[in-house]
Amino acid sequence: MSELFHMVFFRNAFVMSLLLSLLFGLLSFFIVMRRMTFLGAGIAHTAFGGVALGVLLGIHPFYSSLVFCLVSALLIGKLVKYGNISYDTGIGIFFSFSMALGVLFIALKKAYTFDLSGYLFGNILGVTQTDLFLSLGAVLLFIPFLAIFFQQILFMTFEEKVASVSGVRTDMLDTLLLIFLAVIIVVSIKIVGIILVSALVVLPASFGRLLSNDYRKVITGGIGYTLFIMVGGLFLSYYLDSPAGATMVVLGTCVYFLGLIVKRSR
Amino acid sequence: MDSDAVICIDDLWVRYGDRVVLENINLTVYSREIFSIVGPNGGGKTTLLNTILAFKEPIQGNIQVMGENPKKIRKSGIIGYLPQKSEYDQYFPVNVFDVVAMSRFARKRSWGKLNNKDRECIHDALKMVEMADFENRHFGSLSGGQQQRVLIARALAIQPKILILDEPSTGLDAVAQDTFYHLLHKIRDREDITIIMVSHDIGTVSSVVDQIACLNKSIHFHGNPDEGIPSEALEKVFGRDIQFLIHDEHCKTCEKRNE
Repeated sequence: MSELFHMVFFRNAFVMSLLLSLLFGLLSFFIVMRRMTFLGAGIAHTAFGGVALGVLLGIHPFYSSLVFCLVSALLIGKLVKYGNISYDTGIGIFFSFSMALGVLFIALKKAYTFDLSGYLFGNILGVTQTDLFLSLGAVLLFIPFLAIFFQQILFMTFEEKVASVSGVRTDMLDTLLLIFLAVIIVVSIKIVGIILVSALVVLPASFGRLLSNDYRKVITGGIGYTLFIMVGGLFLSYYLDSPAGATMVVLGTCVYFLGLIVKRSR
Repeated sequence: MDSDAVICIDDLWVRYGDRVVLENINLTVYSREIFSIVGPNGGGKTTLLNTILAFKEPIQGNIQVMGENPKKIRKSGIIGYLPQKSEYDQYFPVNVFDVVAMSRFARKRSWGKLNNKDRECIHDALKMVEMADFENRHFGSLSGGQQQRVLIARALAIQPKILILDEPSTGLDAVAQDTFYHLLHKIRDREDITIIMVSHDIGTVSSVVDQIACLNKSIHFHGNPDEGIPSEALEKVFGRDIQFLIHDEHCKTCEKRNE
């Protein structure tokens, strides 16, 4: 097994899996508990438009997809708040609009040598040191943010209106949470892909909730679970010679249902 | 603004789209009162609370809460609030202590740490609502009445100057309602607090509050319910069927009024 770590791409993917496990383990709790799981899928899919625009204009797709995801996340948030529409409707509109834009951008680029499927389904061979630094940057920003505002976000997640009356700055925290969701999704696209990343938003907290009625254990359980499926999926994909992102998601889904069956049978 | 007044509303008008839902509202709530706003469903009670809480902007008129703009007051966190429809997930993974502690964390950046004063406030609030023995219980495992008491404890734990309750007795059985109104008086007697409560149940509410405002788009009566509410005002607010309600033999207020 140690020979795997002599390969730079594997080492990068391994470190990135550790960092993303922490990010998704924490983020998933708030997204799932706020019943915004479709938002993860929606924002991830809007990244496709950004990636395609990057290909068309010759910009690094990371930056163009980051802009696309951030703008979409913030617009969806504002539309829901002030446009009197549901999250599902807002996401549904942006999801399809951005995917359609992506298809148009790709069609405009007559010839390209870009690995588009790598962005759609993930490609660990494409994980570079820059991606590692970006993931580390996301960790270094997100962890202190949560450490400072954790209890306020918990209150907002439980009952937003009451939290606001009690003095929590819900608008600011909601916006920051959406920004982090967009950033973390874009950072992770390289390893799991646009199509599969939403699983990492949904599964950790869903599994954590099988374990306990205490939010502390739900979150730590979710982090442990994400670590297991990402690192386990990475090794499994190497030995099975299968795509890493898909292997992680299949493993994660199997472990979740196993957990559900064990819980129900007790 | 009267120095003893907690809330002053002057010629307030509120509209949703083209529909005016509140018109010419003039109201003063004084310190340490239990004040109830009663009216039919759709009469504008919750809209009035939302305007007091700065969730809804009026198109005309003025509101002052503790002499300040409601937006400023909301940020200061001196209002304890129990909404009409709680939006929480029944299975949210928190225990009773966690729920009450939320309000102590609302305005602090303490990296998740509670100090001794916070803990004292949480325990006092739980004792006040007689839920101290339940602090380690999962919130979702409690009955509706118990959950409501915990949510009131959460509102009390921030040591508010004003406690706002939107339809607090909805969903409670007769015994739980009686316990709840008894609790309101206990809170008012022990704390330096003003309680504003919205209800559609005029029969019960009028026997337990100090002041009442009958609202159906505009205020049709504002005063002490013990002094009697004019039947014309009741009819304007609730319609003619109110006569059946106020002559109900179980309605204490009506008995009191008939004596």
